[in-house]
Amino acid sequence: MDEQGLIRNAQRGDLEAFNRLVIAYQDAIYSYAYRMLGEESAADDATQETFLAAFQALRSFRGGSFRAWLFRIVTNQCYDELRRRQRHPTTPLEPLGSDDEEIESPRWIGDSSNSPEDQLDQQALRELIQHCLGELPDEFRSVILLVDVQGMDYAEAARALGKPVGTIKSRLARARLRVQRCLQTHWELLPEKFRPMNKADL
Amino acid sequence: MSTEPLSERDYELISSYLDGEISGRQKQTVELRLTQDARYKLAYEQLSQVRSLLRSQPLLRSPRSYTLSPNVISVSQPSPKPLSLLPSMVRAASAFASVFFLVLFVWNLVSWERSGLFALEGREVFSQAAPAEVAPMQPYPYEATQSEQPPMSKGGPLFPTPSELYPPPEGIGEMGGGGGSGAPGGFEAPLLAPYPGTLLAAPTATVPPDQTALATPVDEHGRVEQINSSNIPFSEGQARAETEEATAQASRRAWALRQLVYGVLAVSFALLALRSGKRRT
Repeated sequence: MDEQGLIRNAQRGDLEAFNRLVIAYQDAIYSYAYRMLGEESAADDATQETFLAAFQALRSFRGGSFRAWLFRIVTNQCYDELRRRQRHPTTPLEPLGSDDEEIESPRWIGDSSNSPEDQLDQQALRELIQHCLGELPDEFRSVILLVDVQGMDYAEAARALGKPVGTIKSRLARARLRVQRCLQTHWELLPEKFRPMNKADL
Repeated sequence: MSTEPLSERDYELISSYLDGEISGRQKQTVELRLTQDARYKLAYEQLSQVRSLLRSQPLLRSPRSYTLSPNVISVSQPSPKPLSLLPSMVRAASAFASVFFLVLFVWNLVSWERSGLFALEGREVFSQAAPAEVAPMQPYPYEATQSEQPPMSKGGPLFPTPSELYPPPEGIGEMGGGGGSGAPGGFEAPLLAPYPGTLLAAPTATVPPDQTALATPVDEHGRVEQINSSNIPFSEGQARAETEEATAQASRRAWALRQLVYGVLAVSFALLALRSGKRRT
């Protein structure tokens, strides 16, 4: 069944249809929440709350991009968590897994055929990107994640964030510029193939 | 080549150009500058590299399935109830208050017709018309039989005495006595005189002409003759009528104010109940 059919059935209370939508989007939602929050347990909570809130508010969905609608919910969940952290700051030294044990790295959906060396390079790059994303203001991070990581166009990102397209354009350009400067600062951590092409201009 | 650093606007144009989210005219501008300005071109390449790096990032695999079960949904349902308790109480209280004030409004409306307020209105009309109604007196029934005793002397009076109908204002006796020709209490004399031979006679000469306007004209049997408003200026009846009229007007204003307050409160609480009901849905 197509997505619209699943949405219609889910709006009538069909939990199985909704769960098929959950399976289709849970990795994207979880990835976004993890990159927004930088913490696996917080991302897990935000993802769970997002799908629960989506099911309860599904009757209010009036068509359009279901993905944008879902990302709007998870963005609000993440903003709530970030605001809560500002009020009660607790910064873990290392991200915690669901069993409260420190984990080295979350599980990525990658090409398992890569060599171990390539996987290490990719791992280093992901960590650096995550670090640079973490340095961004929240509203810049959400835009660059939606457009560059999730692949949304400006209009869909605008719907997901509830902002005008002009704001998306402006925030995206500034976010890309900041990430680019952050990567330049830590260029020596990047694998050679990812290093900036003209170091003299950095 | 310009030595000035690129502005945020330049980066915004380059970023939008990379995503193809730019108008045709802006696209021409960007492409022209890319061929002429090396710094502009470098910025383009750097942003393009960042964009490619981010777009090459894989998704993170979710650590578990987030599919919902009926248990999870049923557990999550009661949580908003404590928060929604207050709006529902407000709605119920507003609805009750609206009905209460509506009942008061209707009751006040009904009581207007039943209570003394309505009577006051009638009395006001009566008091204004009283002189005209009292004026046409019926002919005295014993006019033809002069020898008969007047009914007053036989027993209880059939007709009220003039002093009962129009008691003289305080001090009027003293005033009347001062202006007469030696007959004290000229107003009282006709009442105490024996039954006269002619009925409907003019007032006796003991009443000075200049006091006829103050004293109520009566015949020798104590009956009121002709009364109209011009004969009794500033009489007690008129003063009482004016007082009653003022009282009635004050009562009407108070009644109207109460109606207004009840109506406004009833409508306001009804709107509040409706709005809180919409918020819940």
